[in-house]
Amino acid sequence: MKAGRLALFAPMAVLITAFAVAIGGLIWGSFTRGGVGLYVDLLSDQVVLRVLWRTVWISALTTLFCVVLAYPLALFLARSKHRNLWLILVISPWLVSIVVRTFGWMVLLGVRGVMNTALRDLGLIDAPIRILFTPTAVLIGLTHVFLPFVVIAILSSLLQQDRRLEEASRILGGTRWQTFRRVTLPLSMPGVIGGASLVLLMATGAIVTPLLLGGLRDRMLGTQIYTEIFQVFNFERATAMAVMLLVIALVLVAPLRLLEARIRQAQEGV
Amino acid sequence: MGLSPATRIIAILLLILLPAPLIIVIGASFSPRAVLAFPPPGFSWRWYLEFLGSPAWLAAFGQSAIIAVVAAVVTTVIAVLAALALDRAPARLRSAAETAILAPLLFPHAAIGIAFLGWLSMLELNGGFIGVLMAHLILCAPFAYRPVAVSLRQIDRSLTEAATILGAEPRQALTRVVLPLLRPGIAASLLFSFIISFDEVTVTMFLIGPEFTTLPVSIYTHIHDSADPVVAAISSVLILLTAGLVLLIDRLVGLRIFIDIEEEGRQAPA
Amino acid sequence: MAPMPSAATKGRLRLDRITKTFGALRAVDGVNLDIEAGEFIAFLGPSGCGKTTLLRIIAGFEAADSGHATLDGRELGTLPPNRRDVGLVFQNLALFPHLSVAQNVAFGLELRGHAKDAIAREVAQALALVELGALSGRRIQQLSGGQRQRVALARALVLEPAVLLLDEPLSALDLKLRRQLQQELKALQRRTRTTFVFVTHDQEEALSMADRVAVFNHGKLEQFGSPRDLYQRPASRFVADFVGEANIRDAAQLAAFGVAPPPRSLLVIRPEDCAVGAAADGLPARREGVIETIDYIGPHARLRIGLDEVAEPWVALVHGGAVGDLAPGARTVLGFDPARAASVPAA
Repeated sequence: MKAGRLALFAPMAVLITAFAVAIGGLIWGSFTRGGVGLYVDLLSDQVVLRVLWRTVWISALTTLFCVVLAYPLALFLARSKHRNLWLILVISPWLVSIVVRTFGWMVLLGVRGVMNTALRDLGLIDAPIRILFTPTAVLIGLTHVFLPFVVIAILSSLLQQDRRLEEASRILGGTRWQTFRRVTLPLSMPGVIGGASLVLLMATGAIVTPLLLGGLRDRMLGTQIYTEIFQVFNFERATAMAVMLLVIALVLVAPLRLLEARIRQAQEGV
Repeated sequence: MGLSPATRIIAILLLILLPAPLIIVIGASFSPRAVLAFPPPGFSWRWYLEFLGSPAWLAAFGQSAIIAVVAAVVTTVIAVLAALALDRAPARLRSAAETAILAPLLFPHAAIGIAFLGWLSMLELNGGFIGVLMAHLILCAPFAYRPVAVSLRQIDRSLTEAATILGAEPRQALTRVVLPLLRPGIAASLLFSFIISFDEVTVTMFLIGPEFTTLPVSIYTHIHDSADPVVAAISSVLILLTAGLVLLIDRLVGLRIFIDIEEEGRQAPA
Repeated sequence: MAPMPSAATKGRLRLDRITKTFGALRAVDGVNLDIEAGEFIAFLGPSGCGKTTLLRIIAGFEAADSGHATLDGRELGTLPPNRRDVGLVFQNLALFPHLSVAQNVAFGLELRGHAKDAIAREVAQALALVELGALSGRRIQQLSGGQRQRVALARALVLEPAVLLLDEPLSALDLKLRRQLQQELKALQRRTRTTFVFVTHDQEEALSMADRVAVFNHGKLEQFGSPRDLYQRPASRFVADFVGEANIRDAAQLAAFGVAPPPRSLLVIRPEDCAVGAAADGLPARREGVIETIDYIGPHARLRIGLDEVAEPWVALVHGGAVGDLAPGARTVLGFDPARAASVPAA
């Protein structure tokens, strides 16, 4: 019986193996070609350290903003009668390529962009605000790009909750805020943490958005890797940095995933 | 449960802001002058005409479309086979296999990009159609697998037994009962894979070559070199196509599928 | 469907020492059963007694660990379920949601490769048999519980199986609908002369519908006989207790009545064989006791009478009029005729 099943699974197994080989090759290659010495060099390079630090704090802040903004939106969608309509607004940007969305922000935030022009016309500012090509622009762009992920993650969690739990809290004397804080919020935590870990992962590995909105001066790790290959042609350094990126992603994301699993288990026991 | 006014305001602001960059891009695309401005100082189709009249752009568009269609179909077939193979496999084996299938979701794209670059270069497939296709197959597999697996799990065991006791051989039970009931999952799978592939840029930008490129990567390179409104026109076309796709999804399987996949996908081992 | 023969020609099912174990659990323990063609058989027993497992073994979805099953002389053995000439109505009906009523019923016929017009004719006949002719184009989701039952029956019967297995098909229905369908099933079985094997945990259902009933407990077949035999001549304490109500008493408890059961046996005295008060005069076995409760059920009265503090109270079923002035708390005489009592082994 299992032989037939094995045949069915074979094509997928090929894909899985190919991926494993690619990633394995990356890690292996970084040690055989560059060696540990390369990592030491990189980690003592001020520029690289700044890139690493920038990657961490921008990713973390993006995640924070996403969660803080996504929650009210998800709540709104969860209670709304016209949910489908709003969902279209939330999902549509998600389905358009990152390039296009980032481009939209370039148009918005440029020195002669929509935002500056509008603010000048309204007389609120005299000189244009320089946001484009700063980490702030990257933050805004990344938050915008990844927001739908977190909204959907939290929304699905909220929709799964039994409405009667809230009603029980109310009938026991809880106010709306208390009910939210003690019932709704805790129960939605797996969704929140799941969404957060997703954003954190994607933000650390982003290239296009940081590059187009942040420029070449303040790079994130993804951008750095890309320029190492296509401008400096230093494959070894790029590979080593990619491995560092994997490590950072793992260190940042793994605890979140474990936390999510643990909370989920604790809540599912009922 | 009613929402506080603060929640409502944030939600509505976000609902306006989320599609805003896209609206601006569409607006700017009609600008008669070679300047990105919103609202546009006039109305002109010139950038659309430039796009439609350019063999380079059209080639990129065509290549993206072909890759996306092929990737969607092939990945969905592979995913259906894998889901059927794992359907009645012992729980631990199934758990391990599904973790492996969903593994690409856990890695930052920048790292995946360079990993594929190394791997494809070794196979001397880099820079061409096949290489990009293979990369897309691996990237789309998790997105194709989840809807199909979820759909399959929802089919009642007793339906295949009913088909069997009515005289069906296993193959007939599959084609007459299981596959028809799997249609929503397969449709979702095809759509998700298509979207993921067509929009893919962060990994693909490592893998293109002089003879072969995709649309999102071309857009990126063009923006990098010279941000002129032709990019806005192309982006607008993409946005409209995506909007059409979303409506198609809504009509075929309902927008809830995004939420359901998210929830099921995170409860399953991953 | 061909015109019905005067007697059933197929459907003789023999089970010979069928055993099935799941880990430490003996789900089916050495079951021997000989079912004649055209009989309506019920498998009766509490949850977990193995009746459903046995059904699935007959259908071919489980394989017995040891023992044989033969249908009309053919060894069922390793035959897959789709080649056994056995039909099955599932507990949850398992109707195909993506097909209409007519398409569901036609499913097996299409697999056999019958011609399109022949299929249409047979489907129409089958639906007429279950009185659903007008609904052939409907989707399953639009039907009521009772209607879906009938579709499931038509789908199985249109293939003219030698045996039709039914796995607690009526358990999800409300009482009135269940009663109605019980009648219809019985009539259907008579008309098609197919051997029916009907699994249920409801003894009233089994006794009212079946020609013979097989009572199961912990995987063992306790008794296989007509409803009357089961009631009047139970083979074991379990059957006496499970089928209908009974006062089951041992030698010690009967000594006070001046009655002795056969050696190593218990007496089974049915409530309706007990008399109370003046009506107990003249009966060989009599004792005084205290009435605990009186329940009026239609024309009857069910009395619980305690004879001593330790043992379980006796249950007597008498005509409502015979109660007279008796009320809970009153002392009265309980009597019965030992000759009318059955006896079961004391194991």
